[in-house]
Amino acid sequence: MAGMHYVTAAMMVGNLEDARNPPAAVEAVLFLAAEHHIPPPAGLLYERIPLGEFEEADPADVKKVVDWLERYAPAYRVMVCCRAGMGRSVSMVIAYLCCAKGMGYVEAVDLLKSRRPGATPLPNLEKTIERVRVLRQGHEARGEAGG
Amino acid sequence: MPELPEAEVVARQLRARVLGALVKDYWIGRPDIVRQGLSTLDWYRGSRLRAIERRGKSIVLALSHEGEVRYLVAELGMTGLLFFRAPEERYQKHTHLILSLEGGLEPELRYWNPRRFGRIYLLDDSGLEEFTGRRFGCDPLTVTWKEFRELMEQRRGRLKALLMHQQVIAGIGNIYANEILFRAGLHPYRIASRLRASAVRKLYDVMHEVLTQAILDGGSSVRDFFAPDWTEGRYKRRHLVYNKAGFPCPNGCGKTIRRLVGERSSFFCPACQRR
Repeated sequence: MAGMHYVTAAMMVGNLEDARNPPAAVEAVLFLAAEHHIPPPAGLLYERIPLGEFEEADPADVKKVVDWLERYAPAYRVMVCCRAGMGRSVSMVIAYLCCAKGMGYVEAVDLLKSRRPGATPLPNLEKTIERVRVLRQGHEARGEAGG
Repeated sequence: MPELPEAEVVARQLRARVLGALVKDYWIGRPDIVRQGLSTLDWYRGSRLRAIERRGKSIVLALSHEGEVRYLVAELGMTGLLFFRAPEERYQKHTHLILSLEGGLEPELRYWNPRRFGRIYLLDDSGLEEFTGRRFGCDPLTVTWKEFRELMEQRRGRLKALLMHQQVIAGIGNIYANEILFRAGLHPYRIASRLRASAVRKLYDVMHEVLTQAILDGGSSVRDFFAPDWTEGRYKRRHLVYNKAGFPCPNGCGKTIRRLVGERSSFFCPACQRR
């Protein structure tokens, strides 16, 4: 069952079926489910950054996600997908909003919960995001580009 | 009576005590308490509790087993409880489902309900999507101000009924609807779409404050609500109007709290909550 939900007009979260058969509005897919492999959707920008379901995410992986979204979200309508479209996808959009858009954590979680009923952030997400912020600041200080 | 705050308290306690536990076994006393998915009950033996969330007034447990994820949704209804152990004999009698756990901080999770109005649903991903899409409107704790304002502008029904309409706003019941409306200075029968923007904003802010404080206080122990660890909710001490017909208005306006008898009783101050 497809389950894409719009977070903004240009950023969506979706499930495994959405990733396999992206709706027409989608221009880029970021696929996060470590336990599934899908063929890259034809004609779309595609990236896979595997994350474990229900697990605390590695800040290094989250930084990869944030960097990728920061690079491509401004120009593409991006759908971030995991298995059910409730945990990892939602969490990574929260991380992006916090790290790249300066949104507060509570505000970002509330936004995702209002846009995606049943949104279930990954364990210790707020701490993970703080660590990602530190990693990103370290990269900036060294003059390294994101991504 | 569990409403959103009580359900949130339950979800948080479950998360703290049994998240990650393995379901070693289950016992079911009344199969008809499982309204959907009874044939899948065996799948849950050997599954692991991976996430625990609240949706409206319901508790959603996400469990994984052999690469598959399924859900157990517990609707508490008016009288249902989820608890870790049965302290008295009377709580043995109406226990309908017991999950025996391993690896968490509690050995068991029990579903108790002396009435038949509470339900258990055993669902897969699509079942959960359909279940929540059918039942739940916005969550009052996370709905944005813009969405809430638009919602109020579109609704021509009475305010209290709207707050309690689970498919519009999920989780508020009679206790908190009364408390929210009193604190917002709004009569239960006011029409939502006719409220001024300032009144809607106050309602939105008060709704957040009341629900958040109630959660911090462990909910309201009215008519036998207890948290899973048997602690009582303390927010009942902060109730200003619920069940206080005949009491002086807490605002000191000189009036007494009145009761409007309808489908669900409304408690309000006729001076502070003008129609």
